[in-house]
Parts: sequence; C-alpha cells; structure tokens
Amino acid sequence: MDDHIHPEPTSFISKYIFSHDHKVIAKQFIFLGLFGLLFGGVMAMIIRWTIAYPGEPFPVLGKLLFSDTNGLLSNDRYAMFFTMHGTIMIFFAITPILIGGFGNFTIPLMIGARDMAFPTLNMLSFWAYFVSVLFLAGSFFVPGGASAGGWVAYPPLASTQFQAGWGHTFWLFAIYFVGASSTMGAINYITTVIRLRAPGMGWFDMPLTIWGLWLTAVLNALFLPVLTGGAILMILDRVAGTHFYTAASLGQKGGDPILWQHLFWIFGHPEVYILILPAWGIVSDLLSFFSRKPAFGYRVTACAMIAITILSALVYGHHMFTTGMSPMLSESFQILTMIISIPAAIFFENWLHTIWHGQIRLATPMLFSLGLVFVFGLGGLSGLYLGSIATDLYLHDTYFVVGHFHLTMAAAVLFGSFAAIYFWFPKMFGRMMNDTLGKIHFWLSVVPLTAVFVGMLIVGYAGHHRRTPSLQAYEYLKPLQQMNVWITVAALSLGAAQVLFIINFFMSLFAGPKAPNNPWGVGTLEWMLPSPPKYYNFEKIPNIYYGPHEYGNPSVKDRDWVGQWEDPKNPGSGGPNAH
Amino acid sequence: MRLLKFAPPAYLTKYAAWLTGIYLAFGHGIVSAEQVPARYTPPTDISVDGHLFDSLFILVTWMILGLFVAMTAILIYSMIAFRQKPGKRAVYEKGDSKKDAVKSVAFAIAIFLGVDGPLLGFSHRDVIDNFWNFPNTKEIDNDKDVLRVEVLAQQWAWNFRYAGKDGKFNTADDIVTLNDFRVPVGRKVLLQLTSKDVIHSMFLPNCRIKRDANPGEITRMWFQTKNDAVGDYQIACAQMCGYAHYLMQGSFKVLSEQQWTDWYGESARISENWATAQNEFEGKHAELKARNNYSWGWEWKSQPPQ
Amino acid sequence: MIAGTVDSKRVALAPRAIDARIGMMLFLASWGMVFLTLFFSYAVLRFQAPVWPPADVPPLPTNVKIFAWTNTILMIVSSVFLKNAFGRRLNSPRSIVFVGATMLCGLVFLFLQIETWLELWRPGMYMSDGTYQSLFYLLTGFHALHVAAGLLLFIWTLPGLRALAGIGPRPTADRAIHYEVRAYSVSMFWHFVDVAWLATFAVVYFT
Repeated sequence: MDDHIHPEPTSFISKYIFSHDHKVIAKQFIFLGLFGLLFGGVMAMIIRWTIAYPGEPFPVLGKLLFSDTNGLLSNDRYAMFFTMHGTIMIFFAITPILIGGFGNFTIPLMIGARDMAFPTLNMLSFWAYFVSVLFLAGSFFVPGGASAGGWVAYPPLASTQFQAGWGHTFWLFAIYFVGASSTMGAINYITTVIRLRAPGMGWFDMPLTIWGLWLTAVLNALFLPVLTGGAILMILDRVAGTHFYTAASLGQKGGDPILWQHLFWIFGHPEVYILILPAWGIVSDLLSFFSRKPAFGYRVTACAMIAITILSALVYGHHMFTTGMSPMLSESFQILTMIISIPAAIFFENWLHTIWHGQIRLATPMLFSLGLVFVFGLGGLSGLYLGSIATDLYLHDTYFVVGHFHLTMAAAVLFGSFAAIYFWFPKMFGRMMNDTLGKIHFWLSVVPLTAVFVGMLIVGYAGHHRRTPSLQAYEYLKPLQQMNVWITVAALSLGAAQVLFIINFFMSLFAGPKAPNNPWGVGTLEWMLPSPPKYYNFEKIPNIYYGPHEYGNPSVKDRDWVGQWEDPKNPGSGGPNAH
Repeated sequence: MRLLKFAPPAYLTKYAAWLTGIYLAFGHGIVSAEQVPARYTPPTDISVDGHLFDSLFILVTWMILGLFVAMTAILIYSMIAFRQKPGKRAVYEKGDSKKDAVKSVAFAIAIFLGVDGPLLGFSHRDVIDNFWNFPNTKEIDNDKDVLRVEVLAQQWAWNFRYAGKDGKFNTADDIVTLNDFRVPVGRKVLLQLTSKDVIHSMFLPNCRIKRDANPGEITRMWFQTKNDAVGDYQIACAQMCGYAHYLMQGSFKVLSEQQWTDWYGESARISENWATAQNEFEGKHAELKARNNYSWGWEWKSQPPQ
Repeated sequence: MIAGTVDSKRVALAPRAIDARIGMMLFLASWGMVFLTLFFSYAVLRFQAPVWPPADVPPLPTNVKIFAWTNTILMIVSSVFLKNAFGRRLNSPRSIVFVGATMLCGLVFLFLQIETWLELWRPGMYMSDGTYQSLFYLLTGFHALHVAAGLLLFIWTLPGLRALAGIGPRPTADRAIHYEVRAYSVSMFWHFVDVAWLATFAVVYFT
C-alpha cells in the first residue's frame, strides 16, 4: 500500500475551502446539493401553484420575485422555471448529494482507503462544479432570462432564433462544466475502487453502495462526454453561427435538429441510471443492515446492477418513439427496454427476500429505504407503459411521463438521499440526528409524495400534456383541473414536510447528541473509525476477512453483526479499533 | 391497537392541523375548481384503433397492479411481522448458492415473459397492424378512400391543407385552414406533417395517437374515425414549443358525409375564387406579384422515407 | 536509484504510477467519447445529405490536402519520437531531445493547420456557411486545440525531465516518481491526440 501521508492542513482555507480531504469535499457537495434541492423544490411549488390557482400570486414569494407581474408567474417565466427545475434537480441536487457527496464520503471509507486516488483532482472536480453553479445562477440574471426550452433543450427552440440572449448559452456552459466535474469525479472513483481496496477485499466483498457508485462512475465517464460533445455543437450553433442543429426549412442550409435528440438521449438514458444506481446500492445495503440479515443474493444483485448498466446504454431510443424514427429501430428499442425489467425484477426480489424473516429495526434510514422500494416499485412499473410503443404513442409527453420519471428518478433518489443522510450523518458530523423527527419526516413525505406523482399518472392518462401553465385552453382538459388542484395541495404538503428535515438537520448538526463509533451496529469499514473519522481515516489499513453483510452469523455469540475487519479466529471481538 | 408506534397520535393531529391550514389558506381553489365534473380516464375514443390503446392500458394495469399489490403487501407485512424483538436473531441466509441465483433469475424471466411478453406482443401487433400501418400508396391517389392532409405547424398554430377538388396539392383550389381541422366521418385520414419553426407534436387525444412535426423533414400519421364519431374535438401540441405552448390548440371537427361534402365543395370554390381574384390583381399590379402562393414549399410525398 | 519507474519491464511501478496510468486511460476513454460524439454527429449529418460535399462547396484546394497529408506524417513521426523518448528510463538528456523533437512536430502541425484554415478563408469558406463547413472547422479545430494543449503540457513536463536527466540538483525519490508520472501521462495524452488525428483525417478528408 501507499503509505504516503501528508500532514493535515491547518489554515482555514486549505482545510475547509480548497481541501483535498474527501470527507470535506463530500460535505461541500452535500451542502451545495441540499441548497439546490431547496431551490428546485421551491420552484416546483411555484410551478404547481400556477397550474392549480391561475391568477393568484404565490404566497409571500410571488410578490417578492415577480413584482412586475403582480406576483404572478408569467408564461415565459413558467417555461424558465420548469426548465431550471429539471436542470437543478438533476445536475445540482441529486448529482452532488448522491454522487459528489456520498460518493466521495463512502468510497474511501468503505473500501478502507485513506483518501481518493487523486485528491487534487477531487478538489478540482468540486470547483469545476462550482463554476457550473455560477453559470447556472448567472443565467437567471442575464437579459432575456434563463433557458426556457425544457431541460431537454431541443433545438430549434434552443437556438438563438427562438431563445435570444445569453441565458441558454450559460445553461450550456453550466452543462459543460458539470460534465467536466463529473468526469473528474468518475475517473477518481473508478481508479480508487480498482486500486485502493483494503487488502483482502475482493470485488464481491465490497458493499453494494460501492458497486452502485462505481457503476455510476463508469456510466458517467462514458456517457456524460456525449452530452458535452452535443453541448459543444450547440454552443457553436449559438455563438459561431454554425449549422449542426439548424433545420433546412428555416431558410438556412440545414443540419438536423433530431441529431441533438439522439445525442441528448444517448446521454440521457444512462443518466437515469447514473442517478438511480447509487440509491439502489445504498438501499440494498441499508435493507440488509437494518434487517440484521445478509443481503440476499448479493452477487446476483451486483450482477444485475452490471447488467442494467450495460442495458442502459442500448435503450435510449424509447424517448423518441414519436419523432418518426423507423419502425424497425423503434421496435428494437422497445424490446431492449423491456429486457431491463429482468434485472429490475431481480432487485425487487432480492430486496424483499432480504427483509423477509429479518429482525427489522425501523430506524429512519430503514424507513426511507423501504419507502424507496415502494416508490420505485410504482415508478418502475409505470415505465412499462412508456416502453411499449402502442401505449407510448398516447402517453408520450403527457403528465404520465412526468409522474413516471418523478417516481423513479426524483422520488426514489430523494428517498435514497434521505436514507443516506440519516444513516451517515453520525459518521459525517459526529452527532446523531433526531430519530423521532426523522420518522415523522418520512411519513409526512411518503404519503403526499405518492399522492403527487400517482396523481400525475392519472391526469397524464386522462390526456394532460406536459409543460402547460394552464389547462383552460382545452375543453377536454378542464375536467382535470380539480385533480390538478389536489396534486398541488399534496405537493405543498410535501414541501412543508421538508421543513422538518431542515430543522432536524441543523439542530442535530449543532446540538445533536454525540455519536458513538458505531451507532447502528454495522460491519462496514467506516464504522470502525471514530465519528467523525480523523484526517486520513485509517491509522493502519485494516485487513478484510468478512463480506459487508455479516448479520446474525451463528458463529458469533454475543452480538448479531461482524465487522469486515474482524479476525475470523475471534469474530465478534471487534478488533483493535472497535468499541 | 397501535401497529406503528413511531407515528404518535399527537403528531398525526398536527399533520391534520397542517392540512387544515393548507386547506384554509388555499382551499378556495379546491372549491372553485369544481365547475366541471372530474374525469380520470382518456377523453372519448373516436378512432377505430383507439380501443387498442385503452384495452392494452387496462391489461397492463391489471398485470402490474398484481405485482405492485404483492410487493406492497410483503413490505407492510415484513414491517409489522419481522420487527426486531429483543434477543432474537434474523435467519442467517445469504442466498448466495447457485440454486438461489438460478431461482431469482428464473423468477425475473418469468415476470418478463408473463408481463412484458404480452405487452410486447400486443404492442408489436398494434403498431405494425394499426397505428403505423399507413394506407398504401395505391389507395391514396384520390381522396375518396383516404383523405390526404398536409399539416404545417408553427408557433403557436396549426395550418392544414387539403388538395381540393382536383386532388392535387399546391394548386389554386387547395383548401387551407388555420387551427381548423375537419375530416369526414369514417374515412381514413393520412397526414404529412412538418414545422415552420420549432418542433411541435400533433396530439389527437381522442384518437390515442401523436406524431412530432419536425422542421426540415416530413413525418406522417394516420387515423380513421368511427362511424358514430361526428362532433367537435381538439388537437393539442404535446411538444414544448415556446412559452405559449399551452395555447397551441386547434379545433378538430369530425363531419358527417353530407356536412363534409358541403364544406369541402364550398371551401374549394372560395379558394378558387380567391386565387382568380388574386391573379387578376397581380395582373394589374405586377410589382406586387407574390411568389407561388399555392405552396408551403414542399410536395406531398407519395412515398415518405419511413 | 529511483524507487519506481514507468518502465514496467525493468522495475515494478510505484503505486502512484499505476494509479496515474489507470486514471489517464479512463480520462482518455472518457474524452475519446467526445471525439466519438463528434464523429457520430458527422456521420448523421453526412449521410443525410444527398451529395457530399454539397454542390455549392468548391472542392478542397490541393495544398490543403498536401498540408493534411504532411500533418498526418508529422503526427506519426512525433509519436515515434515520443515512444523513443520514454522507451527507457528517463534519466538521460536524450529524453529531452526527443520530447523537443515531438514538440517541434506539434508546432509545425499547428502552423500547417492554421495555414489550412487561412487557405480556406481566403476564397471565403467560413464556419457559418453550411453544415459541411461547420463540420470541417469543428473537427479540425477541436483537434488542433488538443495539439495546442499537448504542447503546453509538454512545456509543463520539461523541468521534471531536466531534473530526471541530472541537469541541476538531483530530485528526491518522491519527486522523481512525480516527474515520471507527469511525463508519462502527458505522453499518453499525446499518443491519444495522434490517434485522434488519424481518425479526424480519415473522417474529414475521405468520407
């Protein structure tokens, strides 16, 4: 092993701002991500409000933000809002929390490394990300306002002809820097997992969290560059007047607007799995940890993750069934898409098998994990309708799609993030979060959240197409207004419930009870360290003797877990570092 | 019995209070929206193929509802029945044996064959035989069997062009309408779509079908209304096309054969008269002569690329 | 004696050197995807056009083609030089000489590339004229940026190579690994740029 330890930095700047320490960088990412989540969430509330209560200003914020339109969200701002809501939630909330934050935090700790393989690159990854945030935030303040063509940014709507000004160009720069940041992160994660696993830890001794993050990193490294390449073309189209995405019918020598859709979805479909794989991994682990039972079919789960990673690269065409793609191509994509349900079914089967006959501790992280299984079940199953062409022809671009991808990506990943935050908070900050408040937070989240997105499935089925600030232009949509109002009410309660989380988070951060080394009784490597771990994590890199899910091992008498680091001759003793 | 001891009644009351607060604050919206009776299913099905979507949707719903209910039942049962009891240990089963692996993969494949299989089969059949089974070129030489319509989408309106009495596009008697799409009942309608500016998507919710209108290329779509479908419906634009996207609706009228003949004949006559008047005008004022007025810049494609 | 060196045949690599190799390969795979994306876009746009190059685009002048061929040879030669520079341990001044030769090739490449563009600008072929022109300038320009980046990276490695070659004070073992890792990573990047040029050349001038 590389026993190459730098002294701990002492100045504030090198310790907390330009830090090389993966734990500090993780916290930076998580704080930025939570801020993004808040921002995107408030936007979602305003969007929902506009649909449900046309002509009424959003309480308090409306008058503050839109003083020039009497507190109302005008149509062009509505377009900006849903565009930015999507972009922020995907690239500036989920990505930083789960991948940037927990990726950074858990990978070295769970595989027994002192830091990432490339700490400087790690720091650069955060700061490239920060530049991206600046671009995105700046795009709100340029003349013409932020990007307003949907987060998919289909040209020609995204061309200068229909979106003049720097807003969309800034959006593209933001995407470019997110790409750079993610690529740096991905290189780091992949190398770290390949190279810095503690002695004795084989690939199939890694926690599933690491599997999820590692596969995410692989997808990130290979497919974010596609979006980067596409963004370069679009930036040139906008800035240098080139003709990649212009259409011939606009009186110009045309490129092909559909090209962007191909590039975007070649990236976009793996992106779905980029977001969900870490959450799957985390939940697969947590279900085992809190059922006090080994993860059922660990290898099969890991292999299903690999299978889904590969499949995710081959199915992007199902986003384009209505564009006029050739029927043969469409049918191929349809079949490939459906094949994804095989590994997905394996996940569910193994998850349910893991908790079956367990000794379930319903702590907050466990509740959120179970919530993910529930919500993702809904989301995954509703995907079947969209993967088959005959039903997609009607459901495409309706609220059914919105409901589906929120249930999978947004809701499931949100629950995955919460589970991770409640679970690793003690290790991260050295204090426990309030469990009662956490449980209330869960129940107040899962009910309205299901209501919101199942409600969207229903209005989508009834024909409500996406991205409409008002339904009043359509006779056949007027009967859906009532349902939309209820969705909004549920969405507002969901938003209100998150206040509990904010309170819990900050109260625990400053005044929570001190966390012991291993509050959950879990055997992965980070729990052998003090909370929070010291700089450079492990004084001595541990040897690995056990898999990550040794619960209820009958050879250990006095407790139901075994640490991965423990000596098999004397398991259950806890080893030198345990308490 | 308090099954869930972690949700104490005090907090539930608080939640109820919260909901009441929200209701009081925004509740007038809920009440005022109840002018129209609510609907939770797709609008009336007027096309001969629409039932294919409806029945497939229902079929899939029943199948996955079974899976979902089973999953939820297991989740909830486990949460209650397998809660940690002091001093007890979970079963130590890793499920890592080959037998377990084969079992779970077999189960997954069974689900694939049982649920996705029928879905794939029906979807394939519906798409190949119906939704994308476009009327063949021999049928569409005249508009008697298959009505041909050119659609030009733009921000934020729909233009329609009918060939007129001579059955040829881009001639003087072409009927051109704005946001007014009329078809005769029971006849096949074949549309060729393109867009003037950005990408739009022509969505006929009553026919359960949509197709993108892309600038620079021509896509197509077809449907056939049922014999009792006479009435007024709407076209929607499903693809985000700018900030007034939500206003881009068009009227979609299914006319009886008699109404159709009257409207079509009259419209073609008006078009011709207008063309004559314009030709006369341009004959007098050559400097004002416009370019070919009868065309949107493309020809009806008898054999489109796809 | 240097603790680890980049030549795996002689001495085991230092762990950091292996990390860096893996990281660099991943980076190049990732960045290669950007190139692939651009080639894919080229293919999509090119096969949609009925005639390629479009009828209104005059054929490329002969000297542009000569420049391109010369550049191809230059890139291959530069890679050979670089292979020579790092073929053995980096402790002799000859590495610096070969790296210098590589850089010279790169400079001439850039010069010829700029000449190419000037040659095309003169009769009035601009990036905004049409898809063909856009793609031409995009692919050649994107690659030229990499050549320029490679040259800057070589300059960045020079002090290290000097120190390794024994010119000036002797580096510590730790520093030496650092320098070698840096030099080897940059050389991987340059080989990548070479391969990228061969692909770009084939795509732009022969399809």
